[in-house]
Amino acid sequence: MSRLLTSCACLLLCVCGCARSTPQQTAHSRASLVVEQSAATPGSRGNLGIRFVTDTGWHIYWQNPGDSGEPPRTQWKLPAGVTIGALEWPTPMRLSTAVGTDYGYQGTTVLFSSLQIPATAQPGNIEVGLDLRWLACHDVCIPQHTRLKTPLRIANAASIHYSAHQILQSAAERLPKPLPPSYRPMATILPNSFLLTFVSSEPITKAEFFPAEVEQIENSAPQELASHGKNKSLTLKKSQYFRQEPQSLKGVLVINGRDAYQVDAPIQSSIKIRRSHQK
Amino acid sequence: MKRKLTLALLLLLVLPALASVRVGEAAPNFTATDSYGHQHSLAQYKGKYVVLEWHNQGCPYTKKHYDSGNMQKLQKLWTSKGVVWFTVISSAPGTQGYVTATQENEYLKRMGAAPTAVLLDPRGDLGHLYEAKTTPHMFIINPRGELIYDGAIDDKSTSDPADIAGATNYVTAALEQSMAGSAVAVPTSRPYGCSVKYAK
Repeated sequence: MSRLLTSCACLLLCVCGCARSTPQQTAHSRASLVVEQSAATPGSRGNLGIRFVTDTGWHIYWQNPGDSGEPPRTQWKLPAGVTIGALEWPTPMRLSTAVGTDYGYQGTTVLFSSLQIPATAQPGNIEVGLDLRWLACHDVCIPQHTRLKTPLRIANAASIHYSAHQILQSAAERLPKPLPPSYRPMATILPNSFLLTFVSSEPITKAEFFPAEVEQIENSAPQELASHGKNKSLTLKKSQYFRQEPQSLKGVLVINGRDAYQVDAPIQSSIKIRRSHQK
Repeated sequence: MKRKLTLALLLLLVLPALASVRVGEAAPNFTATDSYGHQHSLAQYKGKYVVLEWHNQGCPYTKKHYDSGNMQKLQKLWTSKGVVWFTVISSAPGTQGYVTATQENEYLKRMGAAPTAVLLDPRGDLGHLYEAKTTPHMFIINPRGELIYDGAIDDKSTSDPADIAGATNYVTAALEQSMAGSAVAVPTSRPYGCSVKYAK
């Protein structure tokens, strides 16, 4: 009986293990592909992630790397009709360097996405492949390159890998949430800064903005939070490389060091402000 | 008298702001020693275009442009047209990219690099004066001594040499435009690469 149990446990472990492609051993950081489903039905959508693990002290980069570095780059190798959604990035951390501030991740990080199976897919085995390039840095940087692949069965009944499901579920929890519309975010371009304004009746003692785009915000500059009742404003110093006025200010806003939100604040033109002042 | 004092006070307030390097303004003068022991000052090259290229031979982004021969090609092209090209090394001793003069001269020979000179800046004085952030980080000074470009070498901010072919080289574009008497279309860009390994 106990032998049977052991072999059952072993089988389970093996099955779970298959959810992830074998991590590629490379210098100071490793990457693997995590696919939630072991079998997917035609027309279904499942979760998927790219999981990075860095050695202590090493980091990889966010979509906006900041003053140096480079975000991971993906080239998917997929069967015809299969598509991958846009990558969703967890909230990054600030990394100070001798010359500025970078944005990235240390330890374990999962970039989140989805896998869409076409309705016309035929039952059988397919392979999800990824050509991945990324930069791992400590005091020095090492470019890394690996090819990952994971098998996936197309069947009439779906099944999931429990361990992959758990990894992706906790990864999803680490993604910044959409900012509630009640916050009404707006951005104003001033001569030397952006003013990011929003409305919140909650007590806010700290707010930190991570710009999604390069060449917008001076990454090392302090961000000043001001409150006028419910109206909050965050002054963000313009990057010295700022050239083109964006349509909106996109990024991640972390409130009270805890709640991370995706922000897409439309730019309020100075003409509109003047008009509203005249009223 | 009072007005003079106010003016002096105002100047004092304004001066720190002027100290930073800005495109369109006079490039700060410097004196530095090259890998052959010769001294160079920016002032002595007035009347010529001067390119400053921040360098770290161990950095993947520097390697991208040297292993592919791209940087050497640029150095040869522009020095043949009378441009003064200074490669600057601001890595502190014990950090990536720090080299002795002998090591650097061996590297130049091995790589077929052709800058006018390599300025050794292990204390980071020149790097901090220009606020050089990455390797590479490129600056261009026109014959009048004004900074006309500050930023990346090109518009493909990766360490992959395969990206050089399709990239717009900002240094070439700025030099061509300025020499033709037009305004530099992209006078600043976010420099990309490894952070400069300054002394801590």
